Amino acid sequence: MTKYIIRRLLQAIPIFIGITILSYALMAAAPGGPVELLAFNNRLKPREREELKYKLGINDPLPVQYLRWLAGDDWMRWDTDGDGVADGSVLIDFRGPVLNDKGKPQYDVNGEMVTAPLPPGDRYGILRGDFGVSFYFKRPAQDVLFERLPATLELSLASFIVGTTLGLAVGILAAVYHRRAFDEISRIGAVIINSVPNFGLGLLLILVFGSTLQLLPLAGRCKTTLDPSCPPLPQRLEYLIMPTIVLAAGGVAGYSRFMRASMLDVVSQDYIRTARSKGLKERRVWLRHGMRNAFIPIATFLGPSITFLLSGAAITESVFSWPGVGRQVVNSVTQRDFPVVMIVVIYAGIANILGYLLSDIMYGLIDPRIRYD
Amino acid sequence: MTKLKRTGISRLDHPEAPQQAQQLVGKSLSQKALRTLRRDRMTMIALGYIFVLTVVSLLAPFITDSIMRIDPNEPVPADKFTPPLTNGYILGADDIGRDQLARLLHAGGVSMGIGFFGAFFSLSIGLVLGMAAGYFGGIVDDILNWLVTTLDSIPSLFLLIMVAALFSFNAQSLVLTVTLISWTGTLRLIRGQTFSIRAKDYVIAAQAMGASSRRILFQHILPNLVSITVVQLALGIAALILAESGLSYLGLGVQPPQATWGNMLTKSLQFFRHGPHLIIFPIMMISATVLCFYIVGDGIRDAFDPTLQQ
Amino acid sequence: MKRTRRLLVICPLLAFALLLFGVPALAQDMGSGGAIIEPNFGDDPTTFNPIISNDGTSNDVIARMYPDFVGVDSATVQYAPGVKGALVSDWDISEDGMTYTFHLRDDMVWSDGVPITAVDVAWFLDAVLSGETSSPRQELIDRVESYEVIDDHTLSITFDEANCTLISTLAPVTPVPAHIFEEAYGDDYAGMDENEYNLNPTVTGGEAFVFANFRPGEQTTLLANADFTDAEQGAVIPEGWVYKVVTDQVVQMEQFFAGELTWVSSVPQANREEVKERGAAGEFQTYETPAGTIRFLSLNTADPTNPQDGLDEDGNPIDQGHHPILGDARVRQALNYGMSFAEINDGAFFGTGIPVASHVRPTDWSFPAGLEPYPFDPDKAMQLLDEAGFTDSDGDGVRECNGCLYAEEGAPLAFTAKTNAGNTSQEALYTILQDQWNELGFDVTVEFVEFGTLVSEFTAQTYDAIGVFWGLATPADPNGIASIFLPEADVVGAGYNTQSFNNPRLNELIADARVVPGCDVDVRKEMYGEAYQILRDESPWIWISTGDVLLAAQTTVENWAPRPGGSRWNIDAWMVSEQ
Repeated sequence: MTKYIIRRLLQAIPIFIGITILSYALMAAAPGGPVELLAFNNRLKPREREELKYKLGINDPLPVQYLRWLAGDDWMRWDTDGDGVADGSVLIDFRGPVLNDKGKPQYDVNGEMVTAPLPPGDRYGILRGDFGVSFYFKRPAQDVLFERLPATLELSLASFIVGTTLGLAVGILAAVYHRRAFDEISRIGAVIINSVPNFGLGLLLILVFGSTLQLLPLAGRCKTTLDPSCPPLPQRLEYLIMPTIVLAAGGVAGYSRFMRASMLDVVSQDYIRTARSKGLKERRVWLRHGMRNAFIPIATFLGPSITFLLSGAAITESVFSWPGVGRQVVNSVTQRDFPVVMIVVIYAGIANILGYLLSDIMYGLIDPRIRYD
Repeated sequence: MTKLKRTGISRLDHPEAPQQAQQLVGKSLSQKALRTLRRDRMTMIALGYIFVLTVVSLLAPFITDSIMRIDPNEPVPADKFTPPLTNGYILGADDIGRDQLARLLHAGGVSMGIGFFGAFFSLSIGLVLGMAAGYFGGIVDDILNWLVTTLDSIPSLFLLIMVAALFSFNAQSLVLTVTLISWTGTLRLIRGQTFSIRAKDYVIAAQAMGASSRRILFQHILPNLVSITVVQLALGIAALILAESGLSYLGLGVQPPQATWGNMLTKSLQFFRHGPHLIIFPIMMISATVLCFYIVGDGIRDAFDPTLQQ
Repeated sequence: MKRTRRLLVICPLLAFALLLFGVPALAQDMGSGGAIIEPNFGDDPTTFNPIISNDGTSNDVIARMYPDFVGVDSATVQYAPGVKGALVSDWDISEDGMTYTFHLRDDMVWSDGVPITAVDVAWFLDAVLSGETSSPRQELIDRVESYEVIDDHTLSITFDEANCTLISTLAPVTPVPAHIFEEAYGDDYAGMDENEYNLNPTVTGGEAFVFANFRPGEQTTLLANADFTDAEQGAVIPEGWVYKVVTDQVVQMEQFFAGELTWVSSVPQANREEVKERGAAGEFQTYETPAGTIRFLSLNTADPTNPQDGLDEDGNPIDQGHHPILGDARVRQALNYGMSFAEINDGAFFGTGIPVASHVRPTDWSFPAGLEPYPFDPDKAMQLLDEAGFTDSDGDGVRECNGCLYAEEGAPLAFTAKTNAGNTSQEALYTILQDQWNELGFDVTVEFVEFGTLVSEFTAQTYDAIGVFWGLATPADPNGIASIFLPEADVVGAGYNTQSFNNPRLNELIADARVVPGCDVDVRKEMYGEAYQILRDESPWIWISTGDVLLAAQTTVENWAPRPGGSRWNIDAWMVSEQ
């Protein structure tokens, strides 16, 4: 088991690297890439701006820039004697051109560029947790992420629990009442709910249950008070209801179809027929044999659910003013706040990899036929 | 452990995909399936709706220019918020007095076009690469598997948002982007199917008799993939129509004056007290179309599922 | 093994339960004054440090909890001595007009009881003038030559020249608690951006509220300042002020209708009619005031394929070429004559627009009599186009260059207008304008572009025409706005004169009006009047409209009395009772 987990974690390394390459490539390809933006600051004089660009390595080849972002540049250019300028480097130059006031390099009488040592590298790279400082908020990107994380976790966990339990219940009942009214209605209902855009569904709920019937609060995570924090969840469950419904709707529809299909699949197997012919009570057949086996594929939902919930959350959080990560990503992308976007993408990737791993482990634990050798 | 990985992937993505359907799908089965399909009234209605909508959308420029004689982008501010069936506006006019019917027709072409081409291209990539990965296995499979897992590990909406905000979408670039993002699901599915068909007795027999890879791929494997491919296309179109509207809500979708169902709906949300018809019709178009694609997808899947045919 | 399985199922449930029954927070009683809940339809504040704040949300919060240096009288909308919530009680001007001596009040205190003095102003100036912070107050750095703390309540500031707008230059100056800032930031001005104190200001004061807390993504909360000396009713009435993030405009108004928001500082156009009607029926309090924004379409007069600065290093004009279409003033005028304001107002602004001839509102002091917007006159427009050498020779409805000034022979009369995506009224406006102009024989393409991209194209001067909003300062500063059209501001990538406009008479007028001896208002008004007329006639921008904003509050708010000079001027007296 431990060996299996270790192997899977090792397998995750190339995937993690793939995620970093992909996201870095997107960022680097964007007009006004990250280094340009860092250097775009109107208080900087042309010379300072160019110097900063050299320091940030805008002229380095892309793979080196990527490596700097990934692993930092404190080991690429270092300062051993502590005089503030570099005295050695690998991969990158430790000397840069001396610039004039307009930011242009200068040349001596022989036409050689005049150079001077650059300051040592001071980035640690994302592998060592240095995602940089948010361009917009001017504080570490990590802080921005972790401030928003609890709200998103709360909403996704609630949606996952509601989605799976409700979805499974509906699916099981649909299988038990196969080809009867409940089955048909639940199947059609699931498809219909799935075909309405979820921001439309969200606004509809707000208008009906919030504005018109005044049963539920319209948006937000808790009642607006002067308190420094939201009260614990039980005292503000009403705020969670509508966003959870919207985010779980897709899940309920999907899980119920899945559960129905696998239940029907299982009960048509030979051993169930045998059990029945032996005179086992119908309820016992469904509960003991049917459900238990049908739960096996459900375990595998965990992984894909993470991606699904995170994606859905971006829109749902915007509709309901929910202070989560998804909404922040949308804002940060439009503000070109690359450090925040990157940290969210990378963390989402890691969560996803772990989710799939957990799925596989649970899959094996529930299904005794699978062995971790 | 390989067993877990492989079955895990194929079953997980498409639980209802006919695991048992890889029995010889001869002419008789597809004929049978078509007959079942023809008798399935709901699927036929949905297909009919999609057909009519496609024709109407393709003919939209002709209909608005020559029959209705309306420019869908011409504003008549004095007529804003005209309710349906008034002053010659069949579905009413929008916030600056453009004819909603004409705009819905033009938007239909764009929204369905994004759905169709996006799903078609991603399906093509997924099909080719999935067959390659499932059939040849080995290093091809490993590389593709790595690529797919990597892409799938980033929530696709995040990817879309990033690309949208950084490069600003029009219909063509949106198709290109969704293609590049959404082929992975198809690949997983096709790969799993190919893998299991390849292990069937008759394929092994054909291989033993010296059939070339090409022959096996095209004669034995591809025909067995037709039904899931069509199902996948229908579901893909539905998903992309929804994705387009979601992006529009975030302000990152196809930009006006090019109308899409998504941006028409998003824009009119704030006017819901002035002209409910501006919300009802776009949302109906989106939901009805998506619903029909779902129904068609389900219908085809059921028709080709041998376990449901007895 | 079985146990493990069960554990795995239980774990997620346990985690959720933990979330459910987390640490109970202490509930806080709200007092009789109630809490003012105001929607923030934007992002979180980035900092509460007035030295570096650079976004609207942060500035809104800062204005509620830090005193002004020189205040604006909310009744007259002019800078005035001794204004509520401002530190300066009076000032003298030296004979050469370059040195201002400010006398400060001695009754203002920070929330820790320390008096607010000249030292607190000096700390702000020190930091900004060092040039090491990321402070956006470049004008202060350019203009202020030196300053001197004469005593705790006297401060003198010397400028680099005598002109009539020096007081407004000082508008961003904000006293900061020097004793606290010294401790928190020290001398490290360059590292100020990343200091944690920015989001957790322990000491504020001099305004109606003091900082309480900030919940990212949710709200910023301020509490009543018990030491606020200028309170209308002797003490601050509302218990606190909450700036609450609301991310969907439809939901924002629904929340207001449901009573979850105390007031809304700008009702979206789509809801105005309804709010007004319900206001008239006594459901809400409403107030209409001229908006502080102007919509315009900037026309690039120079060659967009080869953007250049207006002046070279020695101050001589650089030949920037001409825009093939928009370089000719007659074409720009034709666009103005071909614009039907009535139709735009009806279609895009719900009738709330006000036509403007320049960036001066009829309520501003420098508004000249006789400055009229262009009338809607398509015939005149077509005549101008004919004169400019643009005629439709092939009968396709689009004019071509037949002997025009700058375009190639036969080139169509076409240009691209870009504006920001995601704004409904801008979308409606430009769709209608496109239609109107194409009637004249133009071939206008309209593109809706993401704001960041739009701004970078705007400053890079590579566009044909770009339409945006522009916020006008209160009080209006005619010099600040007119300077946009000077060649000095024509700097590729940095300046605001991105249309590369250069009119010698205008340059002269602006330069002279700034330094009129004695700053005689009538003389300046006449000079600015001529400048506005030149801008209107030459039309480097098409000034489209300004408008009214509608403010609305619940009927449960007592003493809600917005003024043109500020809607929150008496916020310390608002009393929000429970419904």
